[in-house]
Amino acid sequence: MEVSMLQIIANVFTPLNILMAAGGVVLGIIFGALPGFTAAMGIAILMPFTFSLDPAAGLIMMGALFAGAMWGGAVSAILINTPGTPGAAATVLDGYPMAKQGRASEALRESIFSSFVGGMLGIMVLMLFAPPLARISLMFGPPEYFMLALFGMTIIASLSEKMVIKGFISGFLGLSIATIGMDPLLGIPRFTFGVPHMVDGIQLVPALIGLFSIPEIMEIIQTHGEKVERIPSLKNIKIGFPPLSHIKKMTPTYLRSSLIGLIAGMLPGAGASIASFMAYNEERRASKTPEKFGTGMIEGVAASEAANNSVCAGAFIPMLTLGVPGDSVAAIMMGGLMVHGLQPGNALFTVHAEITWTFIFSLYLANILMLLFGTYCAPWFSAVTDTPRHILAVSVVLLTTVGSFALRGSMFDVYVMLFFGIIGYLLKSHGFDVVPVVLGIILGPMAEKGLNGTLAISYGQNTLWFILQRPVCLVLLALIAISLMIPIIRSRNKGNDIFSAPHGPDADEL
Amino acid sequence: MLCVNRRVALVFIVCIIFAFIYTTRYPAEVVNFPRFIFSLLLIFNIVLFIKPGDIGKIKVTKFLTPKKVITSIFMIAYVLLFPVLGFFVTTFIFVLSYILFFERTAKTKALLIASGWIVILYLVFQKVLYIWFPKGFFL
Repeated sequence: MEVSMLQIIANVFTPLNILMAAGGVVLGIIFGALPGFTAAMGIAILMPFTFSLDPAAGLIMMGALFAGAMWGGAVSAILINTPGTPGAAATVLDGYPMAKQGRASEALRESIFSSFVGGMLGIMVLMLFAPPLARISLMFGPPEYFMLALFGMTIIASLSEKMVIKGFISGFLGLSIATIGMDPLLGIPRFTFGVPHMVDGIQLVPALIGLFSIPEIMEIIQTHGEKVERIPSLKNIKIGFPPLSHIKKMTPTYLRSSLIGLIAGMLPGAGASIASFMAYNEERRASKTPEKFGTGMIEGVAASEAANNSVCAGAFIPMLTLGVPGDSVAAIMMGGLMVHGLQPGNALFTVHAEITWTFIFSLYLANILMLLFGTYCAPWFSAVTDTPRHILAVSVVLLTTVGSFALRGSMFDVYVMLFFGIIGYLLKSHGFDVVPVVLGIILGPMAEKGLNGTLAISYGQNTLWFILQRPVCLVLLALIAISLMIPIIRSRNKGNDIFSAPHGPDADEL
Repeated sequence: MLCVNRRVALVFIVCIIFAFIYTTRYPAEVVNFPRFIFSLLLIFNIVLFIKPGDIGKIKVTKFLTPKKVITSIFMIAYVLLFPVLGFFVTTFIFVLSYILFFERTAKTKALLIASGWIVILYLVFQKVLYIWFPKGFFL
């Protein structure tokens, strides 16, 4: 299906889509600014409400929320020394010292502008790389899809921020959950325990809502009543745009950090937190005064924020083209795509090109809106961080319950949400990541269909030899081998073994 | 006493063995893939059991705090009660009691927030999205 750019621009600028983008950005900034609330949780809660909308409008709102949340995280990072999202963790290092020195408006201005630049550059690269990559998916048959699913699982598990072996367990737990329901080969219901609702398998959206929201609610309520160190009155804060000379000076930082963010975004499992720390470290390495980092260097804020916003577009590249999400938010959005009847891959850029390009172009609008809202409404967003924790917790419980019910008007989905919420909390509190579980649930059907298809078409031959004769499979095999090497390399650099927890929770977190 | 990671691995191993036994109810073609996944999951858990790592030596301290337990009870009661009592009544009671539990003096605030949520949910869901919630005994 051929679509003209004019048509796409006209689609983006319909009143409904502008409203969705603006609503998504505002909600995203609020979710990002609230410590404990993440973009993934925001999108998981929002997703059921977008089902009644046209697919493009729903995707626009979710994409805008993602972009808004990435900057929103900087608000609390700068003002209350607590990153609102994991991606803003590196922003705290220089953002909060700047605020303490009375430079809060400067730090906020830099965070907004660098987020905007990172976001815009990311979308340009997404537009450039996504269509050719999607065409590569045409070369994929069942063996390639099987290998791709395995690659997705191994890279996500190996980049698990906690223990590597636990990353693998989480991922394969997700794959096991994906086997519940009708078997794709003979159509026999499996592991349903006689429950008719489970014949169609576990519903992805309520499971996602539970996995991402309930553990966060527990964390939010735990911080109830804790005193927060904050920067006094921001009522009369003026942000404005940075001068041209400043933009010129910071351009290498923006470019370098955006590139790092894009690569980290494309790499399944790396995510915004790794991207922002990598960009921050790179900026410190390139600086003439690296010793000043951590004391209120504006370059530190710019590097972290440009990187975490370009992650958004980077994460969409493998998700839209190959069906392997780059991070947790992309995984949830992929669930949203599938519920709207859109399958990632070449068809998104041919059959559903109008929806896909409308969504991609709307990300520009979302970034522009983020820049405007951030510049002119920052004091209002900063007030959000004052909301009492118990009121936030009760609101999230309501939204998650209502959202799960609204999907199909079924109480069973609410029970699924609650069940997966409990599972998610148990996993998180024992040092497991929930992201590999989600990826496992999403990639499970792809892996099973791929394996069954491979066994069928290689009938009478050695299956392994059959796979090894296919060039794309060989490339994917090499990538799997590399991803399995990552934990070993990382552990050698850190001087511990692959079973230890380099970033794992400490006793207090447990 | 087993360390945390060993206990977790043991729970997984028991569940996987149960799942393996359960697969014997189905034709082999139907459970080939699940068995493949369960086998790998079993191997990973055996590895975790044998080598639990540093984290395994850490004592679980904040897994269930009073605030988390109370929140869980409120949440589970809410989900189980709203099909019985009716969505709006249960939601009102849930929001009101939860806020009052954490902030005993904020009666007016709790009433306003609970009423506000009811109005928003009614307008957005029943009037705009035409989604009807379970009525139960009341509303």
